[in-house]
Amino acid sequence: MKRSVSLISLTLAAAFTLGSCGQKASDTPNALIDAIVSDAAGAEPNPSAKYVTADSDPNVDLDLTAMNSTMVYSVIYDIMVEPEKYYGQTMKVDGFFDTVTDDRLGTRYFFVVVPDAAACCSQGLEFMLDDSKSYPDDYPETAADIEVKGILDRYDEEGQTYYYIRTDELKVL
Amino acid sequence: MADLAAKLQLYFSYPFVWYALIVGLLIALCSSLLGVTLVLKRFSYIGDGLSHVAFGAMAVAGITGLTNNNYVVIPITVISAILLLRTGQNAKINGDAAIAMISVGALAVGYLLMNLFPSSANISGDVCTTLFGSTSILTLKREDVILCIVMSVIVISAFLLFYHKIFAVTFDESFMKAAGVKAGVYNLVIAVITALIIVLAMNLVGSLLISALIIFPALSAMRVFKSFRSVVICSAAVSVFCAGAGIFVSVMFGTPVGSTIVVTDIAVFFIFCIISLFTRRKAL
Amino acid sequence: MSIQLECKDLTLGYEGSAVAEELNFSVSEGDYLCILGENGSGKSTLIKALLGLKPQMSGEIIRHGDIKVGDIGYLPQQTAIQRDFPASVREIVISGCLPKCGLRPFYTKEEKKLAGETMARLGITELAGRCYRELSGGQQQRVLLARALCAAQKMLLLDEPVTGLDPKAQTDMYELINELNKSGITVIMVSHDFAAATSYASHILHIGAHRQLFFGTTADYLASGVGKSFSERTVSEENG
Repeated sequence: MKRSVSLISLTLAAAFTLGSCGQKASDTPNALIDAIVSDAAGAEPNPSAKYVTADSDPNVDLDLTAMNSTMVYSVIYDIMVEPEKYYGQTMKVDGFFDTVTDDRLGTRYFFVVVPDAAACCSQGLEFMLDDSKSYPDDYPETAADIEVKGILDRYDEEGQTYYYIRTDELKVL
Repeated sequence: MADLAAKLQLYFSYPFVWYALIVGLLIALCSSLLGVTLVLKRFSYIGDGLSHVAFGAMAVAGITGLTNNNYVVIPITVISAILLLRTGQNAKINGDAAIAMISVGALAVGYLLMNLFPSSANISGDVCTTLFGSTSILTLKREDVILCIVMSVIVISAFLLFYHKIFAVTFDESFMKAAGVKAGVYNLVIAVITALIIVLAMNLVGSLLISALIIFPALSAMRVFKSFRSVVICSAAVSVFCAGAGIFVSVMFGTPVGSTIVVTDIAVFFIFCIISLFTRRKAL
Repeated sequence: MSIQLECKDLTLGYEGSAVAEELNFSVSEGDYLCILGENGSGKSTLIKALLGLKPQMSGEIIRHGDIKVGDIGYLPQQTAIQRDFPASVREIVISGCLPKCGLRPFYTKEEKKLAGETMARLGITELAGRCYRELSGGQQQRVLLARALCAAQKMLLLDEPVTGLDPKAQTDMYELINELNKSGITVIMVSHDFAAATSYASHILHIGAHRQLFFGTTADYLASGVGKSFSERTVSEENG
């Protein structure tokens, strides 16, 4: 009994140490991952126009409408997590339309929402049409299927940087 | 065909796809090694039970608001594994009843806690992701991959170091105890390794499908191979192949990752069944 | 002949209720002791106590010389798990050497040699690469016996070694055990096979009705009241 208790405590201690010492332990795995990823993905880990497929739009850098739902969800997640990589790229996304207001600031935001393959989770990418358009006249109904084509841009609000698609092409499908 | 090649190049230029492959293959390898032991000890359903416990632990972790859920999930899962796997032969509650109780209980408690203390806006989404894995393996961060590599190295080394002992204790625990081997300690090692793998594997296939990842490769190997060592090696090979193929197919054709891997495992199992029909006939 | 194992006033049981009380017997080097008794008489409990797997309720088990716990080669009854286990004969036999390994994660040359020699001694060398679950009952028992011999070379404890075997296999098994005993290994066998026990064993321990009914040489047993009534009962059972 004593021996098992000490073994359990040892294991827990090891688990905690691993979690916190992630940095030190991560040097070799980090190098390993770098080797695999850069070998495969090339010097630039971002897709460029040369990876155009038969059904993708050659005028955009990133055509999410030509990808399957599994990839779309993951790429959008990637955009959310590391948006600096995609800043300035032209992209085309389809999903459904949604809008929310911030009551405190009095501002309204527009999103194109993309669900995952199992349709149980979804992510929204913010987009903005130019100032000449107004809500609700120039915007579609909530939950309508839309396609947004534009450039990933960013703005600052209350000290936070937010990325959005600056677009003048909003198609209702 | 050229289009497929172009798609291949495009998709595999994303780092997160490579992260998914690395993690997927490592988890598949680790769970298949353990799978042989667990299936032989008649603990096939433990993957399910422990993953439900991990689910409950995640709900608890959500309440505490820790940055990394694993600090809560791993200890709770490890302790449950030890309790479940050590009830063994002399328990008042038998192995399968114990697993059922703890498994369903944790699921219910976890779901209740998640609803009472929601840590995110989309509860059913979180539940769904945890249960089915969804695309969580394609949304890994680099730290997740590093953690996975470190844990896999620990698991694989432990398995190699204790290989003969794991075999002996799985085949005949009472003989080993009678001979003075500390069978209890090795059962403990197996329990801890199992818990670690299950926490890791929840990222790959989700709670509901973990059992499949543990048992199918082992069962496939056992249909055809005759020695413990060849069964373990084959189980590992099958598991890694199916995980790789499953991830590849799901990335290329847009199917959910977890289910695709399991379906590949099932297909391979049927193939092995058919092969065994021929090899058995030869033996006669 | 030196005494290897002694039991004094041994009482065995679970959770306060005794299964067998006041057992007194001893085993010397080279003996062939057969433990007889009906099912439920406490034979398995006695085995577990002798092997150190379960503590006794009261009394002592004294181990002499170099018979410590773990020096008794054990042939347990097979479980369903084992009958269907994917393992080669060689893997199972050499696992008998595991207790000597300690923390070492591999087997030494000597241990591999011992396994090979033991398999030859029991006539199962050609089975070395075969899968355990494809063997017949008698062959499986030989494999397990080889494993027990790898674990301990001085004393064997066999728990109903012929259960489930056909008559020819049973006879072969008894002959094999007898040969091992003649070569100097002490044998303790649990059985309810009266005929085999009295033909091969040098000593009999008969447990029944929660106590020791007899301990002594086989000749004395056959002459005793217990032995006679047990033999009559067995004969009448056989004659239907």
